[in-house]
Amino acid sequence: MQASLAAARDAGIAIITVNSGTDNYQEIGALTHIGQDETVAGRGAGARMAEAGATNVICVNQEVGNAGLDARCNGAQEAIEEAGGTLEVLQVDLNDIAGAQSTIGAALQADESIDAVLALGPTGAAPALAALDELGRAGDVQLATFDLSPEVLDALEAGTMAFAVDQQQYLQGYLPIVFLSLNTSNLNTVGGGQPVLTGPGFVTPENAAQVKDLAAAGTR
Amino acid sequence: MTTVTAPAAVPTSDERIANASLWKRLLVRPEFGALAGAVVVWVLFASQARSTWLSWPGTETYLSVSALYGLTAIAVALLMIGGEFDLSSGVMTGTTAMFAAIFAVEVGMNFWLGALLSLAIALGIGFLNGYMVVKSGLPSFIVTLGTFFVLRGFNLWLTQKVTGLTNVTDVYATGGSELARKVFAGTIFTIGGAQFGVEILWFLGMAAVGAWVLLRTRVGNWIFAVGGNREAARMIGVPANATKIGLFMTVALCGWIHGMVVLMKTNRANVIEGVGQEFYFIIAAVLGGCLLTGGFGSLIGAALGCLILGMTQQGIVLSRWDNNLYFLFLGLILLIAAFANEWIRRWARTASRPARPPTPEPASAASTGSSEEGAR
Repeated sequence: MQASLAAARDAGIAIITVNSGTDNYQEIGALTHIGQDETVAGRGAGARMAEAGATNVICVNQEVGNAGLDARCNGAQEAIEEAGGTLEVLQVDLNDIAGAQSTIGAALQADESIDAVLALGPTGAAPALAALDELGRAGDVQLATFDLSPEVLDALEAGTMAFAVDQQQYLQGYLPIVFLSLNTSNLNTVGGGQPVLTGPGFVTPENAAQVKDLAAAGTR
Repeated sequence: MTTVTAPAAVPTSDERIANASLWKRLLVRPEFGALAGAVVVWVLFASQARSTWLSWPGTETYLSVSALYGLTAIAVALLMIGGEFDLSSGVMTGTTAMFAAIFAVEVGMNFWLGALLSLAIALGIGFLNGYMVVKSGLPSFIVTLGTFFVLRGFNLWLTQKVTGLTNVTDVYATGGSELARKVFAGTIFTIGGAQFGVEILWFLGMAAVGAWVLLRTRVGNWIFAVGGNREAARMIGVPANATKIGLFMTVALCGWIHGMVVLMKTNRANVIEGVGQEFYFIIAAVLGGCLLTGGFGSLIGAALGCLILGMTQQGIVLSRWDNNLYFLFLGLILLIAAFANEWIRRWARTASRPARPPTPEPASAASTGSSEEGAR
C-alpha cells in the first residue's frame, strides 16, 4: 500500500491515515493520523481502574500474538504499577470460550485478592463476566473492557461492568473528511504533526443508556 | 469369600505367579497409563494448589473443563479404535452451535427446531466424511483435513453474510431456549458455592454408553475388527463400511452435543469456536491408550485422558503458575504417555501371553486373517 500512497502524495493528493498506522503515517507523508494509540488507551484504562481502587488486576488476553492487545495490557500495567498495584496477564483461548470462562474463574479462585479484571475486547469480556457471575462476585470485582458491543452496553447498564474503553470509530470516519475538506478549501492542517487521538473515550454505567441510543441512531 | 476362608498353607508359589500375572494384566490394559497419569497429575496439583484444588469450586472447575473435552473426545476415541481420524471434530462443535444460533436468532425459529436442523446438518457432514473415506480409500487424515477447512471457511462466510459479524449472541432470548439451557447447561447441584454443571452427567453418561457398546455388543466387536484390519473384518462378515461411516456420524453427533452445551453455557456462537480442539480430543484418546493404528484402546481410558487435560489446564492456573506453560505441559504429558504406552506394549510382548489384552473374537480373527493375507 505504501507505493500507492507515495504515488498519491506525489500527485499532490492529501492523505490522512485512520485507525491503524500510528507508527508510520509520517513516513507515508500523511497530514496526520486519526485513531487510538493502544498504549495510551491502556494507560488510561489502568489509571481509571486504579482510581476506582484496583490493586491486583488480571488482564485477560484472548488473542495471543496480537501486538495491539499486548500494548493495551502493557499500558494498563504501567499505570497500575505507578499507582502501587500489580497487573498480571492471563492468556485464554478464544476458540474455547467455555474453557476461557473456567480459566478466568480458576485465576480468581487461586488469588482471592484479585479485585479487578481488564478484558481486551467484548469477546474476552463475555467469559470474564460469566466467570464472575458463577462465583457470585459480579459487581464486587471491578470489570472493564476495551471496545463496545451490545452485551458490554447491557453489562454497563446493569452495573456489573465499571467502564468500557471506546476508541470512538465514528470519529475515525467523520474527522478525516472534515480535516481533508478544510485542507483543500482552507489549507488547514490539524494535529501539528502529531496523531489525533479518538480514544480512549470511556463509556460508564452513567452514560451507557445514552450511548446505546446513539448507537441505535448510528453515530456511535 | 471362599478364598478368604480357604486354608492359608496351600501352594505359595502358585499364588506368587498369579499375583505377577495379575499385575502384568493390569499394566497392559489400555486405561492403566491414563489412570496412573490422572493420579499423578491430581497429586501434583493437590500439593501445589492445596486449598483451592481441594475446594468444591476448584474441583468443579477442572471437572467441567474435562467434561467439555470429553463430550467429543469419547467419540473420537471410538473412531480411533475403529482405525480413523477426524480432524474436523473440533470445528464441528463450532459449526453446530453456529447453525443452531443462526436458525434461532437470525431466522427466528424455535431453538429446538434450529438445534435439530443443526443436528441433521452435522450428521450429514459426518456421513460425508465417512463415505468419502471408505469409498476413496484415502487416509481419513487427508479427507477430514479437507472437511476441517471447508467448514471453517463456510462458517466464516455464512456468518458474515447473515449477520455481518463473527459472533451470534442473545441465544437465550429465543423461544425454547429456557428448556435447552436446563438440558445442556443446567446445574446438577450446588455445593460449597460451586455449581456442578450437567455437562459432567452428559460426559459420564456418554463414556458409560460408549464403553458398554465397545465391550459388550456386537457393534463394539465390529469397531475393534475394522480398526484392526478392515479387509479381513469385511471378509469375515463385518459390515466394515457401515461401521466406519457410523463412527464418523457418532463423532458428528457428539460434536453437536458439545456445540449445544457450549452454546447454552455461553449464550453465543463464535465462528472460530472449536478450531484446534480436535488435537485435544486426539491427545485425550492417546492418553487413554488408543493407538494411532486402530484396533486397540479404551473409552474409560479416554475419559481419564480428558480428566488429565482438564486438571492440567486448570491446575496450572490454580497453582498460580504462568499459564503460558499450558501447551508446553500438554506436549510433555502427551510424549510421556505415548512413550510409556509403547514401552509397556513392548514389555508385554516379551511375555508368553499375547501382547494385546484379550480382544474380542472378530478382532483376533481379523489380525490372523491379515497376516495370512499379507503372506500371499
